[in-house]
Amino acid sequence: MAALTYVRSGVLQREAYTDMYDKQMDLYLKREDNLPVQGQQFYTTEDADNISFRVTTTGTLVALPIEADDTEPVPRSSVAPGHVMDFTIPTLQQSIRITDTLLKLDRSGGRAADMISGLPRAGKRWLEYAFVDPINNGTTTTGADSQFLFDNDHEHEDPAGGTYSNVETGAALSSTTLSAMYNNMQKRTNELGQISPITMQKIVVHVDNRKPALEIARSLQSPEDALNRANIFKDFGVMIWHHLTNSTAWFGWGDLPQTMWGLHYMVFTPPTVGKLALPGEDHPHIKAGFWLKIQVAAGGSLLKNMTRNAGA
Amino acid sequence: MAAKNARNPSVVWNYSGATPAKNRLMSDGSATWKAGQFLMSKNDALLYECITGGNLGVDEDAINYVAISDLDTATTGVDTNVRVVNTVHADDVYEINELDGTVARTAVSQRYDMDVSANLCTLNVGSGTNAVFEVVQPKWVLEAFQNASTDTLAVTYVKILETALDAEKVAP
Repeated sequence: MAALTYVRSGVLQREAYTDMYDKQMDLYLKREDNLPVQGQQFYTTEDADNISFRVTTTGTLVALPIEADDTEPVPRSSVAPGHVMDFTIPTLQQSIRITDTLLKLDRSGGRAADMISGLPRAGKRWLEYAFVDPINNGTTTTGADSQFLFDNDHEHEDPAGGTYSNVETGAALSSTTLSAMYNNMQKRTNELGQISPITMQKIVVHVDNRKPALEIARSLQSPEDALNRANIFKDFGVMIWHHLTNSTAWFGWGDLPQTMWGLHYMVFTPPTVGKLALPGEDHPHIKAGFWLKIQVAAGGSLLKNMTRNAGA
Repeated sequence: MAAKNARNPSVVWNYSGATPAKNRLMSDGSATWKAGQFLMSKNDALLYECITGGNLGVDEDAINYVAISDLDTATTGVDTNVRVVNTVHADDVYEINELDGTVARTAVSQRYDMDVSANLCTLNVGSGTNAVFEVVQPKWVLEAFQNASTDTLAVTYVKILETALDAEKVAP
């Protein structure tokens, strides 16, 4: 079987698409793009007014009141400041253009013109990779508190609150290890060390973990043994995130309000497609072209709402 | 027994009135400190962090201010304007962690050392040889939900001894 060879010349022209003016061709099957939109649900969209974007947190919590008589001065407290994180928003471009000849000789029923639709799809796909990147690299990417995004030693904004962990001891996904993660998120404290539980809403898994994840979510009884113990995670949310690269790792997603998710989709110029000024003076037969420009970044500052288990 | 998480001192009662932040003071060019540390203005009129030792609260090592923000000039080696809580008053009460142990009611009115390690300022109930703090109350007496008598690194309310605040400066 001969492999197709072609070069990306930067222009859709007849030499590269000889099949499309072959009068003997009876059928042109379109290679459809079928990309589920998955990553953006974890992100908070922020409007950026610069390609540098700085994030911090503010709080509203002060220390608990203490006993003080009417004749004593009123004790005072203050709110802990936040950790600061800087992001740089990259500029990304792409374009596609097509010759007059390919359009005119196209026997495929408009497929040549349809190829141009690949441009916005490229932007959409870039976004999906961008959204998963902080998660895929969260064990080696530093967040706002100078710890990795997934780390067992995140220092709270107020040192009095101690530290918290958003990584579990690596273990394969099961109702037992899921319960351990659930409980650890429930035991989370706030920056003053006060009880501040996070309730896990769903597990996020690589497709390789689809079976144990769905068994946990659909079994009446604990799925790993024959003891008929109740499965407390029945009807639990499961998301199979196809862009995850680690096939064993699995994640818990909590119920913190959106401002505390710690995943930011920073938009300076949203994915934008425009028309190139074609045909140009020197290339009258490059019939049409379009550009794509994106100035956005997806990044994590403090992933309090997500906990990782490396799996096994 | 729970271990509290050590942090630098915070003002709880301020008897000296308003606490404006001053930014006209100069730090020593090699100074490094963290917010909440006590500072001393030495004879050269520059600010230094208070450190553990026999000189603290004596002569030019009198305790003067509390830092509001971190300072790291060690890399630049230049004098820097800094922000501090206004002059420490003998009646001001600070919340501070004990170095490593519990604090009992019997510590009230006792006088103890300051320990400063890696820019972390704590109360050393184990030593009174160079006392600069007087214990007002262990915090667990006044706030029992998050604090207990069994806490190590116990949060404690202290004053700074007047003698450590008013030590005579030596003429430069």
